[in-house]
Amino acid sequence: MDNEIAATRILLVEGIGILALVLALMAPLGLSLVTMGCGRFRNRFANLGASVLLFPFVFVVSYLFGWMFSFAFASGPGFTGGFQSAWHAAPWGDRLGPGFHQTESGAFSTDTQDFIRFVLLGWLACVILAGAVLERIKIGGLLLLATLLSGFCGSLAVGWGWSERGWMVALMGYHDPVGATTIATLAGGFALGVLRILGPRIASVDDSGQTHGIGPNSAGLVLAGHTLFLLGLIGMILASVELAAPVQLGEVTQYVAATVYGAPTDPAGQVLNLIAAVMGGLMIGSILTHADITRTMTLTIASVIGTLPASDFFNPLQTVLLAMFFAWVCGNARDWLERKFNLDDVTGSVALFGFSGFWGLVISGILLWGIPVSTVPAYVHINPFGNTTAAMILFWVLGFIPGNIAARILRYAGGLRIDRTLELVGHDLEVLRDVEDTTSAAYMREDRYVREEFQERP
Amino acid sequence: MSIGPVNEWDNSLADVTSVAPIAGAEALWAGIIFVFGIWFVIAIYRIGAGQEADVAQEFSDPDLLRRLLAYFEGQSEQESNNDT
Repeated sequence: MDNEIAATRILLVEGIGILALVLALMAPLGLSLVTMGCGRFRNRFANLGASVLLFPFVFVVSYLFGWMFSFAFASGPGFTGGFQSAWHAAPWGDRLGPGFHQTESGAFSTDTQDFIRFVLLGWLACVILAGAVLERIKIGGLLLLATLLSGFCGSLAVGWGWSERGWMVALMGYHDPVGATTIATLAGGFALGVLRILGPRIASVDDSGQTHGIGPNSAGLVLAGHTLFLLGLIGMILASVELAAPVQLGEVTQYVAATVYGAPTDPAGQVLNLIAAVMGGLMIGSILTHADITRTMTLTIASVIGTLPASDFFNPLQTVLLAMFFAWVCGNARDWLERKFNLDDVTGSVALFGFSGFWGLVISGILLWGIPVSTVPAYVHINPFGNTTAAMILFWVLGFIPGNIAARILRYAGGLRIDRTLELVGHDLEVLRDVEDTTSAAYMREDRYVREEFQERP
Repeated sequence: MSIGPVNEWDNSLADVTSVAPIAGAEALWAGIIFVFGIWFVIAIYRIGAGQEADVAQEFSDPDLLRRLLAYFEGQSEQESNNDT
């Protein structure tokens, strides 16, 4: 019997869990494609390159200290312990990697999978940031900002709000079972802090100093990238659920699917709500953008991010209605930020991820008021105050302020913005020249072949 | 002979934790990767600075820069026409 349970757990945790992670990989990968499609043509390979380069860098940063921080600072508020329980996540430990480490219950540890999920969330945060600051930031500066965002701010956000022992969960009833909204809110706030210092692209500012958005170089890439992102979110839902978790319900222990907070959940219901959010976003987006599918899909992202924090509880029709609201509000917020603050946010990260995440957390706190976030009786239930305060902590305290200060320091050190000539010329000049050279050389060879084979034929 | 912790599988898996070779040297790998990470950021900055210097030198003549921007504009117009 024990072997049967072990086999089932291995099938669910190792098999489905790894497939879910592969699917979740599509989310940051999709946003990387969006960065490629959103910038100007002369920067598109550089934009994709920067987004992809963030992945290995985030991996190293997370392995060396981010993962450990997420455990060390889970207790709070402030620094109130937790360090002793963090040593298993230290980079000099032997828990991350192939092995047969067992938990207290005798099951094999899921540390490695949890770490991969953590890295994917960190990469997602950094790609959201990269999307905002494209085409004028130094890649080295972006890597340093990514270190701060994923290694420190992101780790704190995960430790505080997306773990069973997080103090925001225990003391404030914070609720975001998938974690994507937590990360989106944080990254949106961080991007806003950096953008205020970085300034707009030369090409987006008119004579009066007003910023104007620049359209994507490839609508198809943006559309494909957003579609992949939505698929990736399904993976994130599955990856954030512990399948067949033994949960103590009253006096009985039942094997159920459980959230990261340890409460029973219905993953299929969460996916249904994700689909409902997409439907709502597509419908209202079509009206708002006059059936422009690229912009409609962009608004749909805001719909999904805003409704995810309550995806385990909402009725799908509630989700559709709220999704419409988020698409409308965040679409307008993007224009407002550009008009009012001259914010040149290339992919709309601040409004579509930061604002929608912020308002999603606030509204879910109101609508889910009184529902227990965990099976631990001492934990505070979901409430508007808790979720709103947590949203403000994520957006402003962990996002905007560190991003703004770090960008100021980098600007002071000359490590933030690229040279103006390079910004005008673009990063892809060598790539474009290579393409032109090889194309010309190929043409010459074809031309010679035609001359020799056809014209000189008797 | 093996430099890893597993010499045979005829044991309880509870006794086998990490299976990586040269067990006990994890701190060394972490240190090496940390130093590599710092070098990596510096190297990326240097590559970027080199690219900036090359472009600034090549396009120090404003007319050349304007011609290049006009060329880009022509290219994007051509692509728009092709799309429509």
